[in-house]
Amino acid sequence: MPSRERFGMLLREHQARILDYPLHPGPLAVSAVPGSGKTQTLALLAAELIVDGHLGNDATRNAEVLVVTLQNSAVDQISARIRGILSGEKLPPVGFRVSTLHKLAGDILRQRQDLAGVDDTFAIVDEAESRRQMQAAASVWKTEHLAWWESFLPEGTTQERTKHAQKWDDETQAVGLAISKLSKHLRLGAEEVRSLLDRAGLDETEQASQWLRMGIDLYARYTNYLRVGARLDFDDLIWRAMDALEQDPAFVANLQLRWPFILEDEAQDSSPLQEKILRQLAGRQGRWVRVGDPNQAINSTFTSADPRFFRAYMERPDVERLPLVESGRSGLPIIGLANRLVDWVCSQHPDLTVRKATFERQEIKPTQPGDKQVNPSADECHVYLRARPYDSVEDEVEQVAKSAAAYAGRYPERTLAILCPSGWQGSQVLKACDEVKPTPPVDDLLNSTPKTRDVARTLYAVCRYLAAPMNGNHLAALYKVLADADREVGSPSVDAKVIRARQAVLRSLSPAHMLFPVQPGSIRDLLPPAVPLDNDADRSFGVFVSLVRHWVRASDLAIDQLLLTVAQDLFEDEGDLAVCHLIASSLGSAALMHPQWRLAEFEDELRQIASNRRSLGGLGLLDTGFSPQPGRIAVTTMHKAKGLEWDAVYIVCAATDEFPDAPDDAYRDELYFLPGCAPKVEATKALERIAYQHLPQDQAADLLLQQDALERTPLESARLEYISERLRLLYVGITRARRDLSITWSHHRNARRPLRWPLALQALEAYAREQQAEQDR
Amino acid sequence: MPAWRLPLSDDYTAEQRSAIDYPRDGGESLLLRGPAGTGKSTALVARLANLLREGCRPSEILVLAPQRSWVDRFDQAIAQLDAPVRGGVDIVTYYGLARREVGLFWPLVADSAGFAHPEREPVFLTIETAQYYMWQIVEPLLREEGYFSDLVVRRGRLLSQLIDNLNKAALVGFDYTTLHARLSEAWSGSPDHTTRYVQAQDCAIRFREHCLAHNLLDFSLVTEVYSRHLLPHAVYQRYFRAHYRHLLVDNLEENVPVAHDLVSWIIGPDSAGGYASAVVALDEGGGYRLFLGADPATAESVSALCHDTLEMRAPLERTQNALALAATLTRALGMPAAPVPDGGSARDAVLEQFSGKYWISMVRWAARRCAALVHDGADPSDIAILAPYVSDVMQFAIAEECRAAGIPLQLLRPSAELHTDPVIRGVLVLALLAHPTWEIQIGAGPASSASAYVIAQQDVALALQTAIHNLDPIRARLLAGDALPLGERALKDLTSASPDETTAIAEAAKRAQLWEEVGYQVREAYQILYAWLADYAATGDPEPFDLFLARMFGDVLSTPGFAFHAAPEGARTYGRLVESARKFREAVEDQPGLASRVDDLGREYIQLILSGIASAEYAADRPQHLPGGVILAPAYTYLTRDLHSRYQFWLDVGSDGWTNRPYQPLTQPYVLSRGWPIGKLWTDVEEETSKRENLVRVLGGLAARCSGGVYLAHSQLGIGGEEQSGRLARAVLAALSRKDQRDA
Repeated sequence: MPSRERFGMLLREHQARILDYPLHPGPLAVSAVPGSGKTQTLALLAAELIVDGHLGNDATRNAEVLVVTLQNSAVDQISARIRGILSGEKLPPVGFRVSTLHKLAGDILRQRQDLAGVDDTFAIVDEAESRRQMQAAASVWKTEHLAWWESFLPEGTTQERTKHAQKWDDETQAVGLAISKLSKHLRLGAEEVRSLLDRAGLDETEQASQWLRMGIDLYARYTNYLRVGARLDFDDLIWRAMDALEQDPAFVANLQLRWPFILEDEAQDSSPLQEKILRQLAGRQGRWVRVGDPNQAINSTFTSADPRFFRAYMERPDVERLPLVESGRSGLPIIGLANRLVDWVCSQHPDLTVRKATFERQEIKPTQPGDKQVNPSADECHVYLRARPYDSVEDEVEQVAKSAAAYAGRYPERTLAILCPSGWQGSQVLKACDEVKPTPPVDDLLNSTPKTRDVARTLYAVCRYLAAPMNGNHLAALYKVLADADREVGSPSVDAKVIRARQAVLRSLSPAHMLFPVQPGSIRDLLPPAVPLDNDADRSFGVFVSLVRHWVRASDLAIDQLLLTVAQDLFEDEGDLAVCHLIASSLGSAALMHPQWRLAEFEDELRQIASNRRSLGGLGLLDTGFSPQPGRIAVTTMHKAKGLEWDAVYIVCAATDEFPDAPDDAYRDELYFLPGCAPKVEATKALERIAYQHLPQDQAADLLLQQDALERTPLESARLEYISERLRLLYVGITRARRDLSITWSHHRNARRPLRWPLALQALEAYAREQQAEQDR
Repeated sequence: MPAWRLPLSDDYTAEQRSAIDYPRDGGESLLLRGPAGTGKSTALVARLANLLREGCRPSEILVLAPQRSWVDRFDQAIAQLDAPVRGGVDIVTYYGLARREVGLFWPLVADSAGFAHPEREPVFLTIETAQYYMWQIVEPLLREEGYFSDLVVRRGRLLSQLIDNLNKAALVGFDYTTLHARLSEAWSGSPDHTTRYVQAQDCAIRFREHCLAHNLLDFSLVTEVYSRHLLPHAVYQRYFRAHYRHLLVDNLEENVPVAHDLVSWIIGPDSAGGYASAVVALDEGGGYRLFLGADPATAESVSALCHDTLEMRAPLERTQNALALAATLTRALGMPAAPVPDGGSARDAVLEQFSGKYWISMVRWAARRCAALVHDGADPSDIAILAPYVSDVMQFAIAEECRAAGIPLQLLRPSAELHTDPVIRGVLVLALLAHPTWEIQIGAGPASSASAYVIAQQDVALALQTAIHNLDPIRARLLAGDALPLGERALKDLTSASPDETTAIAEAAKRAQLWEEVGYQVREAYQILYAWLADYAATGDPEPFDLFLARMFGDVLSTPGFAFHAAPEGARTYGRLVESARKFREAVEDQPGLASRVDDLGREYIQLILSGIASAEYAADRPQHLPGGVILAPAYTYLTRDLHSRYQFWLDVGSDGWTNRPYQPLTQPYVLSRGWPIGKLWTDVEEETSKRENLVRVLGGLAARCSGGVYLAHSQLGIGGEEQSGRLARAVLAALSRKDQRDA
């Protein structure tokens, strides 16, 4: 019987088995369910390896447990837990390293820049900048192929054509980005992809191959832009890191000595290439623990990851497999619903491929009594799946908003969220919440968190002033922003009238005189004697002037360094500083590719972030320190909700356009003016197929999924994968709820095809009814 | 604090005495060896002083130093002596010597060295001009042949690496046509990657051929001509032996193999009474200039030729604690540690440690701690703030803090690219305003192969600030707004009235308001500047760019009311720019196939600088005497300038920069060294070893120069937000905190 306690914590049975790992180290796969305490388990395992001396005694080797995860917030969480455990054991925080895979790849490159072909000034462009560069590439390419490009636009009024062109522009860029990503995943440069295409002998009259050619052209151009700026994007990082590892066995051996144990989190989201990197690092000894939930893989259509890789890994004979299936998060009705979803899809979904590819058969089990986290009792739980659709989205969200507001009123100590399957429903939900009287407190988490926007707003006000430092209005506006946000110069408790009066003073004087006075003195000295100023004004102005003067002097620094300087002056909270760093590095990335940009252009970027029109690429909610607050309605997408939990969850617009039953339902990848055509999907699939058929086996085998039997068209195949992913998304949505769950749907005007209630939800509704009947008995 | 002080009285140690008194005749050579800080350089200077006092002719003394800053130190030290005849001693670097001699003896070697026109004068290239020429060669290869397509390297750095290869070949003494073979055969990675070496070789060959065809001499060619053609020449050898009687060599280990060859030739068995005396100093544990070609191994073989050896082991300053710290860290890195003088405690060497999450809070801490030290009575020049790299924001944060506390700061940042210097940028913008027809292309934007440089208001403000005295950034922006309306290319006359009466009044009112704000002194200065620029533009007959710059300086910028008046530091930078422009012109004009019209040359030059193609890595070696103040420098610079302090701040302890050498994919300092056998692979084992050795060397060097204690600062996240857990940080943690735990 494995021991049940470690480091002062009572372990669940499966956790205890996992902690036995050091006794028989080797490749291990842990299949975890939502809410099963993955993070805690990993931290415990890492600490155990360190404390029990499994790293060996050679202090100079500096061996560490390597923990690899997906997001920065996870890095912080796990680090903090390990540190906590070690400190409890009176040990220094050494012997472990927690990193995202991208940072790990970056480190590998930095250690052997010669193998990677980069010099030490290489830097990464973030997703936002990647998109900008692809946009530029697409716009140039378009002008060179205008006739062909425009041939896809239907006839219509000028206004219509402009709208179509906009959409087609977006799709063109999407094709470029997708082909670029896939090519880099396959480690092929643009020329190599082209020759692959030639070898495959595609029918060039087919639209799919034309789109693929376009994608390759865009890839080539995009690569060029990055290369000239000596920048790498995230996919390059992974590619070059793998290259570096393959070239020098001694280098790999060294890294293996340094990291004798590798613990991988969110393994279901690892792309095959990323998996290869970790496999190299794990070496023949293979002390590699992969933890993941294949049923929560919701990023596969954005990346080359697919849960089937992890599932295949779990099946390997040399891999030990342990489950982590106890979860104390949700009440039994919710757990039952989630399990039923998996069961139904695996045995009863009409499509064979979907049955096999979507879920791993695995059940969530409640925790034992006496566990630290006991499941909410079943009679506190309510599940509502509405069979009848609302007539319109507006009706649906209005009802949901009212219901949520009422819930928040009735249970002020509970947390709740409204989850949207796609982003576009979000704004309608927000509007509906706004219209409920009295207006409930709402957190808009669609693009970013309030904190991110708050920080961005402050930085925007600073930047706006620095871009035109002679402008007294901007200076006064900056003053108010700082005062409102409680940043040194004032606090929200100060009367608004007082702030306005001070602003008037600031507006009345020239910034030059205030910040660089000819004679030393305070602002009061510059005013005519009779102007009334409140008592604290002198101090406040003094602080303000000194801060702003400092920033004016710094304004010739590179933008990221300027923002860091400002950040250090204004923010103390860790979360705020973290956001500042992210913003600074995102803008720094842009600056490198746009040497012409000055403060005015960066001001614009900051405004976009502050007004929620742009998100900072690749950030999760947790990265910016968000956590659910009781009594506040969180509005976000189902994707962003992963990893979080609320007492009550409302899922809206759950119709077949969001959760398709069959390929025909998944029409949203089509261009609405080109029915039946989905360029991005078709081009990507075409490349996948060609690669699978024509690349040498050892190059393709572990990078691509085994291709479907050829009865399916590429579009169909892609759509089936999409169907699977959306079902997993539904699973994620359901498992966010602790007690209460509501799933509704509606017809909407803009749907291009008639909507139906998804079969999966029908099945779940039937199940819920049965359970209710049983309980009533 | 200068690296070594001359004792006012003749208060030397016994060993120093022996070195100073070593015989003047007899053709014998003495080696002084020992760790840093034991007084070897002081002994050399004192010996030099004595030689002069005794009546030795200055021109007969040759002092060989590893780089320019050493030369300056010697010069300064001698200036302090009351030796009867000071001038005339030849204090040189190898390159300095070679350059002069090649110029003097040109007719002797031009033909045999392979120049196409030996009858014409040589043209010596600066780094910028060499990079410019290399760019002319490389650019079409990049564009049309896809050279270096698998590399991710910026253009300026690409060029400096290609030139570096040639330099290495010359400094080490191997045939530059074997570069590709050496690099490829040492490559242990995928064979595909050796294409870049073939391409680099091709560029080197083309460049060299171009130089030979046009009498252009870059650093590598000067070095090669001297070492391979001039030095072996019988006539030159006779001249040399007759000319120099006494040799003094400092920091032999920091010098390059061909310099070692020269010393070997002077003092070796074939010297045949060719010299009267020689004293050579060698620092054990040195070799910081390894990446610039220094070779401690060949230094050792030279030192074996010396007749006598004197060991100098006792440190003159109280560095034993710091040395103990270095030894502890060395052991924590798994390397054997040098024996430490008695009484040294690593514990006591660490005065304070900072460990925080964010990089910038670490920098702020250092600045504040430093200010507190000074406040408590420390002499600013006793303090050094060191980091692997000194970025703009680090410089800014520390400079601001020092400025607020009234502490002078001495920044040593040699490797900055020219266009990042705001003074240079400001001056170049002024130059663009004086030439409204010039269009500059910089960078590589997506839409085409380059994007036009548009003068933004922010740039004009910078230019005005650079020119006009006491103009703050805000007033500069105000002025810039009116001085350069949107879309214009030249400054406006801000005092003349518009001919149209209705607008004239409104305009005058606005102007009055502007001058109210900005100040009437600025108005005067602006008008002078405007008038001068306008006159110049109106002549329609552009001057050579360096003459334009010099005139602008003399006529306007150095006069009262302007920023360069009584501002020696700025004037020095300006002077450097003028010199660089002049050498560019001299090297490029009249060259076939290149822009040679005066007009174009100036524009080409500005474009060269602003587009970052000219990255001034070697240029760093400009002489810089230290007026005093807290030193802020990259660790390597601190070491190669042989500075000493009481307090050292080691910043960014977590950064990989402490161990990683500045990496360049096209060249390799270890492989391209004399000791590396062709065909030996460079693998990860060597990589690992070299990194650790470097770190140990740096730690030892810093410790030997620290007589008080060390402040260690570490941030969990680097400047870009990346996790920092470099080797040094781990060693510190292992060495110090585990001991803490055990003690607790």
